[in-house]
Amino acid sequence: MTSTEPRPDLALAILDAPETVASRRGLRDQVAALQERLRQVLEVDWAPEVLAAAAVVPVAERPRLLDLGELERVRDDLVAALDAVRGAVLARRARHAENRALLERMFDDPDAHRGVRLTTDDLGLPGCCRWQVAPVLGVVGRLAGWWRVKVSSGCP
Amino acid sequence: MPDVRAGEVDPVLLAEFGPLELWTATVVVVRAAARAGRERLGRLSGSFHAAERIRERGGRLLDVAYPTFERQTGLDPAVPPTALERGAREVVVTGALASTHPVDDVRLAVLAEVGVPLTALDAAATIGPWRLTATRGEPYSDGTPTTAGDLVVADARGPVTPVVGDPPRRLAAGPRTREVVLCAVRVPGIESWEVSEAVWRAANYLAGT
Repeated sequence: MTSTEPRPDLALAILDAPETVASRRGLRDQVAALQERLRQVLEVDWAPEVLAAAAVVPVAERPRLLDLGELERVRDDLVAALDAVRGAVLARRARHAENRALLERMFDDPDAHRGVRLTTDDLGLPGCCRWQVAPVLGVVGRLAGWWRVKVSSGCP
Repeated sequence: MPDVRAGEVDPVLLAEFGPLELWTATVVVVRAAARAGRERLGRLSGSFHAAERIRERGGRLLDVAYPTFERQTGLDPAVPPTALERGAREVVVTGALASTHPVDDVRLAVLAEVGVPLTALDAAATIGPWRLTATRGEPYSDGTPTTAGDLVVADARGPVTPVVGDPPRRLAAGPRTREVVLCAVRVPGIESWEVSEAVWRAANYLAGT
């Protein structure tokens, strides 16, 4: 029996011709490779907006033996999700770079950045530290125009 | 000591997926399993790095081979298919693996220890031998409908649980189940011994051996 002939022992008639077992297995391998790539990207950048970009509408409600068209849809959805995740990661990194530059400007010229506040999350750093441009000595500093970057002591 | 057995796998599924296996064990739950289960989860809560594992495994607690298999069978692996795993992710917030009843405590402990998802069926509702197959649309033995092509574990009377996800409530083992059928599916990407060992480990926990 050649690989293109229908398999009488296949559970579902819809899965027989013209598609083949080999083509479905090839697609499952592609799906597995894409899933692994997606997992690796998420492992490096585990953030809500990145996770949201990885969302895919499932093809089935219960585990099923998918036909060729369904497997192609799973693969295409995964490719799209991977692109979206990479886009989200790049956007996030660009935002972090902008915020780091802003933090440097805050230190260089606090008076020009009154009240600006950044957190470790804004900078893509671990922990829960906070940088805020605040007046020295409260109201006195506010009236006198004495501003500085105050660094929080981190997590409680 | 509980006997772990390999179930039959439909040749069609072997042709489609490659190395699929079904491992089962039937075990009588001893009284001491409840307390031992709570204590085991207490110990695990102190050593289980759930957040790290969730990050490494794309939001899941189990071996990465299982989310891949879920994707290949049409599911979205971002959402854990079992109530047990969905609840277990709360450990990141609460810091503790919550105890419910002996059977689920053991399933949760094995999930945390080896990352293999176990299904527990009420032995009074199903009779072996069990096999891994695709349905032709026949319902579960409690009447729950299936669609043709659903991947299930079946006994002689019909499907008893999906290969991924929770079994119908009437067939699932609960707090008062005396005898339990444990089953786990080996999917491509995970070693056979890891899955059979997970079933063996759970069976020994429940049997108190």
